Amino acid sequence: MSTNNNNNIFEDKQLVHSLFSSEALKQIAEKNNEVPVGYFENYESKLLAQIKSTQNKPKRFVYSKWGQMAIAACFFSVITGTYLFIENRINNNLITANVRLQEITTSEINAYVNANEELAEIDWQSEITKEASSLELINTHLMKDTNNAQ
Amino acid sequence: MQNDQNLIIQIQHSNNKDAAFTELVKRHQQKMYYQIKRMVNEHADADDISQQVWIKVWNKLDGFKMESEFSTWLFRVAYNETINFLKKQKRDLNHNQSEAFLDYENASSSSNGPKSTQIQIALEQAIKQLPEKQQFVFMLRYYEELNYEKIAKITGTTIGGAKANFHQALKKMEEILKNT
Repeated sequence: MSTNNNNNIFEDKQLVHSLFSSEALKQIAEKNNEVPVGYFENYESKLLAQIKSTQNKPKRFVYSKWGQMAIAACFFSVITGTYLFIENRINNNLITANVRLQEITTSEINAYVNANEELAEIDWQSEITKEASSLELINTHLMKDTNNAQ
Repeated sequence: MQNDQNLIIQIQHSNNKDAAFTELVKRHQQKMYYQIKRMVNEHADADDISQQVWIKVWNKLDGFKMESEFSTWLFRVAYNETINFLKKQKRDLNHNQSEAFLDYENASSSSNGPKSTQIQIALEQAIKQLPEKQQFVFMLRYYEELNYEKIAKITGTTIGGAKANFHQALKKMEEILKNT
């Protein structure tokens, strides 16, 4: 298999040399084999150090220009939305307060006050009667107790 | 001296991982770098790509099942990275072939390195005009002297496909040289 493969390579190389200049092909190889002086010296150590340094670096998400613009737009819309929402709510409260005060007539206010005064008086009187009746009950009980003692 | 398989087992079991990886890099870096450089021509690009390849290998070595040789797998990663780079480079150049052609010609005939002959420049340009896959197959077969089975695994094709790619590459190069 190996000999067969080598033969094939030999045949292929012969074919290439029959078509193209072997000298030119050799020159291409020489040109490509040129590297800066010392490039391969300690290459493996330098590579490993580089791999380690990239692995130790904390992962940073770098957004594209459009990504950055999208994030900025999101922030802007959130801030603007919050501001407009708060502003709108304050305005709404002021308007409703103004409308309500303007809508109520003086006669209505007076009627409301009077009605409440009457209700308050009724309540107050009932409370007094309740208190008085309970005191009377206590007195009668006390009287009964003293009579029994005598 | 340990073989690649033993080194990979050491890495996968986190046993002397750094030393085992360093040894793997030492063994395969030059061959991989030269293959990439033949494709991209510039040292800086070849250096970047080979670094990317090794970073990928480091990250994926734990999942390597050793169904193929390590060198085959490494060259497959290198093949994918190089093809991606060349596609991106093509997009960036906006398919401006004349500009690329001019740059390449200047680079080829620069005073640095061995003196380029007309035939060499013409041949280099013919190779550059091949589709990436054919170019990669030609380089692997002619310069790395890999068998078709390995080339097929690297480029994700069949043995017949790899052979066809090699012969199509020769045919195309011949045609390009005839027309220049």
